[in-house]
Amino acid sequence: MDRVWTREADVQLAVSRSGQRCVVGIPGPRLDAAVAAEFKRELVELIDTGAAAILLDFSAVEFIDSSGLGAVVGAYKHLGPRGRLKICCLRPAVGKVFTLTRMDRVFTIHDAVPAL
Amino acid sequence: MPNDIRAVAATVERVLAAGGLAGLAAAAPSAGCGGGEAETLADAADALRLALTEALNNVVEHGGGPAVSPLVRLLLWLDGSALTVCIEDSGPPAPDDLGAASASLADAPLSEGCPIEALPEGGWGLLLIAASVDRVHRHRHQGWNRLFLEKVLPPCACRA
Repeated sequence: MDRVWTREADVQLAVSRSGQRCVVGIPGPRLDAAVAAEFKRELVELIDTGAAAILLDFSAVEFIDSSGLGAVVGAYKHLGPRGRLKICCLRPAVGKVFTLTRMDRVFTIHDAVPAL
Repeated sequence: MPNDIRAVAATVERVLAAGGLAGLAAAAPSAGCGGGEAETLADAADALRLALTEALNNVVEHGGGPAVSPLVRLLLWLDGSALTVCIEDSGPPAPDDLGAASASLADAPLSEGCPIEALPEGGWGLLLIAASVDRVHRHRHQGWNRLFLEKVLPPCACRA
């Protein structure tokens, strides 16, 4: 069935889900202003359908800007204090944006995919 | 460049290519470029990519909207090892808050006990620009906003 709506860009998240736990592979290579709103919308949809422990796998993301980071934070706020959102596999250029904005203090960041 | 957020990435890559920084994608191996703690040309390309993206996002998102459709011109020049990119746009005058951006780096709007609902979801653009380049200058000239971003490129034998 065709779904027709206006969207900024397709963001095909690779979701591996087990109950409330989700590992979300971000497709990359960019998480930027062109895809941020759609990315956040898809994360919010996951949260609204019961995902409460989310691991965002950034392996494929080579670049993030403030809009992409804002979408991550926005999804985290939607999840609220009852849920958990962790991050893994940041490349240096992406990790730097988390550090400069101090979001590295907000999120638990793993070097590799941890056991949830 | 067109007044379209989706055009920003390609525009930034064209500027980097014009500055001799093409093919230095994120996570590119730095072998032969000095390595160690020093900033490599790939690091400089990453930093400029971030600064240019944030600057052009600002122009597209705050440049008066699609109805205004500001013109955007980009110029760049290399003076010794300093690469300067000038972004000119014909949008309305930009707010004069750039000077505060670098100051706010030391005192980012966040504390470790910050409640989730109070976390910022943006507002980092100018901070990231200031942190990514060596000098930022902005002024209004004959109806154009001009933003100058200067990045001192590291010496690197493998630079094409």
